[in-house]
Amino acid sequence: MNLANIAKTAAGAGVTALLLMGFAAPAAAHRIEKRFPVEVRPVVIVRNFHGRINVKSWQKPEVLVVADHKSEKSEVDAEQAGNRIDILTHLLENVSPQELEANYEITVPEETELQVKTDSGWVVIERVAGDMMIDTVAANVDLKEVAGYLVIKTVGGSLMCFRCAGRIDFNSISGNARFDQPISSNVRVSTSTGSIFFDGNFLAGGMYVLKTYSGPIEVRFSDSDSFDLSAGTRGVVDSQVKLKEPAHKRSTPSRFSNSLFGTFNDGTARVELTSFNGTIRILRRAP
Amino acid sequence: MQCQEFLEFAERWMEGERDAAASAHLDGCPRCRGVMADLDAVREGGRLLEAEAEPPARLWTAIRTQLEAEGVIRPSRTWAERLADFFPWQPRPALAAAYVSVLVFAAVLISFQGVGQLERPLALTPPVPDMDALAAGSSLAAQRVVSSLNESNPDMVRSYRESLRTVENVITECEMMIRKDPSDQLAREYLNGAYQQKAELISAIVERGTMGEGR
Repeated sequence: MNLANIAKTAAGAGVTALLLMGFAAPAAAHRIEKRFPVEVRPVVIVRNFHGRINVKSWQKPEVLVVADHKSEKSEVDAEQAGNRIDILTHLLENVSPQELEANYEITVPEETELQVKTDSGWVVIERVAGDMMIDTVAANVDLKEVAGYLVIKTVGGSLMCFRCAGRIDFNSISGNARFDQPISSNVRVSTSTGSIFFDGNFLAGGMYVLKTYSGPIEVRFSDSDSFDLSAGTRGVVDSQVKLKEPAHKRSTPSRFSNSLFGTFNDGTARVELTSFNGTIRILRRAP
Repeated sequence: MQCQEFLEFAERWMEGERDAAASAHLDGCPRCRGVMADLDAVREGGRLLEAEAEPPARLWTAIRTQLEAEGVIRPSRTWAERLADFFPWQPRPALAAAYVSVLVFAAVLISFQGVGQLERPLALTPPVPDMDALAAGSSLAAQRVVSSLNESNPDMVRSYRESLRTVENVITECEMMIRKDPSDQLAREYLNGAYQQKAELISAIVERGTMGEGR
């Protein structure tokens, strides 16, 4: 091999190595990990712009924050003030959509209050008990086995709630809401064009108010449930529930072209389903 | 004077107060000029509406006296003072944008509820308000507010844009139904809700836009 060939081979290898380094370099460099010792029932506040926020619980009296962000143009701060942890993404200058992403893995004590505000991406919270305020624009929200006073507000983001307990308020313009096996006696849901799906027991003394403009509402009930039902829409009401006549008949005509009022079993819970022109389905749960 | 200072001064500007620094800022700032133009347009629409829907003066005086005696309304304050009550917690830039929607909201309430309730016992002919002018002004303002958002988050911008469209569609549909049947209480209820949603939405967008500048 002459010198020219050696030089060519070395140059080729150098270019290959540089290319490989270029592909391998991103993301990992912007990872932070912080631990904060906390007392009972800490408050954790998260403010992000875009990305995934995962919150889960453990038994330790400690909050662990692991964050990674895509760009040097953004910065992640996690600070403690007493029993409160503030986790914030800052943008240092204008960024492209790809550079905006920051992802968080946050582990908190089981009893923790959470305030999460983000524009887009995904918020997933698992097995945390404490009041929560979640405010997103386009980000979807997944709550799994959480308990407390849950206030969720989105513009277009959807909510999935699996075995959520406590009081639940969801408000959105076009986001969907889905509740699977909730253990809640107070559920208030309002979305304009999104859909609402509720599959769970109506607890005695509970209040369930589900409202849309054009989105469909579907609730599933079991034979052991007991509720007073009021359902009304100018769309279709499709019901499998056999209701007893209400004790006090209404003297004024209904504002809806299709409505359903009455009592199922003893009527211990109150269920109000309202839509302007969306379809309302009240279906018996499969045994 | 910066935009934020000007917007803090905006409600006094709308009341007719002038200031050299504010005038200079307005001359050189197309964004603030746009906001003020929209506010003027909507207020003008409100005036037209008021002119069309206004019952005779003596009738209005009698009703006002009666309502004040019953404690239903209080003696009048400036429109800015009344609108500020809706958003006592909002920062001034948000308040300025929220004015647009609240003004329209207030106008709709006047035309559909206030006047509607007056006309029944007094058997007046129902007035036909110029809702299209108001809706156009409001929609223009909303579009301008959305376009001020930082494009670095397309998902967020898309969501705001689509949601505004959704809310405006609800407003349009409800208005059509109320035109057909002025006694349609359900449509009124949803219309009021949609106007509130729109005001909140615009307020949130302006707040995020402002945060985006300094973040």
